[in-house]
Amino acid sequence: MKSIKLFVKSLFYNSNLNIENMQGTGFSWLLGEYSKKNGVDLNDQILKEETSYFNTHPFFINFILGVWFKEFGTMEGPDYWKKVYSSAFAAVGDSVFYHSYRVFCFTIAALAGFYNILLGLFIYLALYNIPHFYFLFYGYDIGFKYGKNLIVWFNRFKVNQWGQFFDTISAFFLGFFLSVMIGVNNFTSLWHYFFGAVMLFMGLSFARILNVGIAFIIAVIGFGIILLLGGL
Amino acid sequence: MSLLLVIYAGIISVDRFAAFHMLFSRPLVISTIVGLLTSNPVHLFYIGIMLEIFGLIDVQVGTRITREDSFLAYVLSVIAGMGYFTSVSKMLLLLLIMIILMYLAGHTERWVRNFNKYLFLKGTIPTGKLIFLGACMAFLRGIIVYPAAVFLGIGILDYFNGIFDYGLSFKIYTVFLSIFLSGYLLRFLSFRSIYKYITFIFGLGLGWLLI
Repeated sequence: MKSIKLFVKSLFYNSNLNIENMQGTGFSWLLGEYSKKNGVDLNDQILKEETSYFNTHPFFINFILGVWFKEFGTMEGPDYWKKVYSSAFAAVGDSVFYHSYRVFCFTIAALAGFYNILLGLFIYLALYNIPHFYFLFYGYDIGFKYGKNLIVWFNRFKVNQWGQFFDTISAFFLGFFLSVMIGVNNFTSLWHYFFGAVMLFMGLSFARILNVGIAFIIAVIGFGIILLLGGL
Repeated sequence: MSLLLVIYAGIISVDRFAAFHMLFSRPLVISTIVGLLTSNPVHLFYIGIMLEIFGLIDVQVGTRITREDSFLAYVLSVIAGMGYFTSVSKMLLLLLIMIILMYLAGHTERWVRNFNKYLFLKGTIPTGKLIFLGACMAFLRGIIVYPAAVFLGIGILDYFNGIFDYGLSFKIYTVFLSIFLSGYLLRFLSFRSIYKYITFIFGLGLGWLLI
């Protein structure tokens, strides 16, 4: 159901996020909104029950709603598939979008930003939000078409490999980005290369043993001491 | 401009954990937008890169509240954009204080979640209204917490006005702090180590050759 209004509403569905029912309030709210548009009569009892615990990655919510309506009234009922897909999408969404794809988008945006800051900003927002908006806009229709077999649609794109794929190209672009950052700023003396390599190695080593927040504090203090001793 | 910055603080807070999820709360986006608003984009772009790398080394899973990198980026960007960083030492001092305060700011996110829970458990409020109130609370949190930290930061820098001024090359410090944090980010990417480092070094080499 390609509707701008429902697309916008799905951007807000987890505003009541809390540790009691997580996104359950939003799920029930969207069910009510979709049922009005679908002409499906969902009584207050069903909507009340659907405020129970629900958690998924926000980009995938409309797929689950599509599956829910497709399976509504079947023997198995929609809630079993809601549970199956919500936990699966939570895992996939977190690992792909929050873990890997965001790093990839950042490196591309930062590289573009060295050329033009506004272009970097635009690329970051566009790269990240194109799949986000596509999923929210078409998710319901795809979920409704495939119902409980929605996994078939995702398997076509080898969704379980997205995380690894974006991790790989992010590692490449991270290296590329660091070189470019040093180059465009003319930090190209032997001393700069040496200091950069030491910093990178320290980051890699600290990452095994120390929380990044504490390491950041230590690094800032360390740079402060270097500054007091004469600076870089 | 101040009004725009306050409204943006609210949008950042909403984008972080209530609605949108469109990257408006990412440090690089915050620094660039604040930089454009305050006509100081280049300096803030590098602060944004450093804080973005710091923020990327974290994933929001389930009920976990991630580090408040948006808070850090907003406060530092606004203060830098307003021209309060007259030396590198002041930037590092404020960065240090704000990293510590960032954990406190993270707690306010927990308070909003608890308030959402309280409203939900009342059981009498319609779901649409709960959604609306949740978004409003997140917005309110943003326009209170972030600007309050900006005022605190300005107060601290005013206290050190005229003293504690060391260094003027901001870029070199942000660049090398970014490189240090990149070590964490590289470790954070999770696929087989040997291939990861080969891919990374290949990228590093190609970038070096091109530049």
